[in-house]
Amino acid sequence: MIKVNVLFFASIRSLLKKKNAKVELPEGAHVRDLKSEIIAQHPELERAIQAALAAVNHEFSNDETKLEDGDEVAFFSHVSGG
Amino acid sequence: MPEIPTIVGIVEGPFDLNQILAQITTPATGAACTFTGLVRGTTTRADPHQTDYLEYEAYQPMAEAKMRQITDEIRERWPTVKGVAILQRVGRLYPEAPTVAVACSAGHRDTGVFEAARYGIDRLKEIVPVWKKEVGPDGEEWIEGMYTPEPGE
Repeated sequence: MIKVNVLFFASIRSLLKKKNAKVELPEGAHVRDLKSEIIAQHPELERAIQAALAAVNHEFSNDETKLEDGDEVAFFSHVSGG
Repeated sequence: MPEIPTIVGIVEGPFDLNQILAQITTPATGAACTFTGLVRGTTTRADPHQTDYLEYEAYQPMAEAKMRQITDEIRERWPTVKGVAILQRVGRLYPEAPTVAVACSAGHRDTGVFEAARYGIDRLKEIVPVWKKEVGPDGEEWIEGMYTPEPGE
């Protein structure tokens, strides 16, 4: 198993009412699997998580990005700074 | 060669535009372009409405890494641009408050310094993980951007 640190920002953080979570996944898991696991735990987040951008270790990624033990994975909506 | 000034940051308090200008000025600087974004209280374009305040949030380490990436992209496109500063305020900000600053310096005004500052703010709005919630008379809403970055972008 691997363990990843998950961070939530902005609208997703507001919906979930928490900033982070630790999630265990099988070896070889991808971002897609992490999304499924989060949705299984929080079905109300399904739409938000499916539409979210994901960053792994501060780099934009997608569903196919492979995860390693200790990775930091952030989920957030399209950025709106400025 | 003296070090080329690069300033990036997510900041909680107000920034000082004169200080930013001083920080990107070198003996070879003859032109600087500073873009400043502010909280607009009254919007007249597209969807006219009032804004009471904006609540900004950032993923700080990634935001600062992406700001640094933008300074690299600017220098790649406009090699004559030397100093670059990109600062974004977070927290609750009221109308008329400056929220973001992008400043570029060069030897002369006609080698891309205006375009570089424009690129900096446009790019910030694409790839820097910062979000704002708008609060107004009709309630509150998280603002969503339009741009989907490619993996690794």
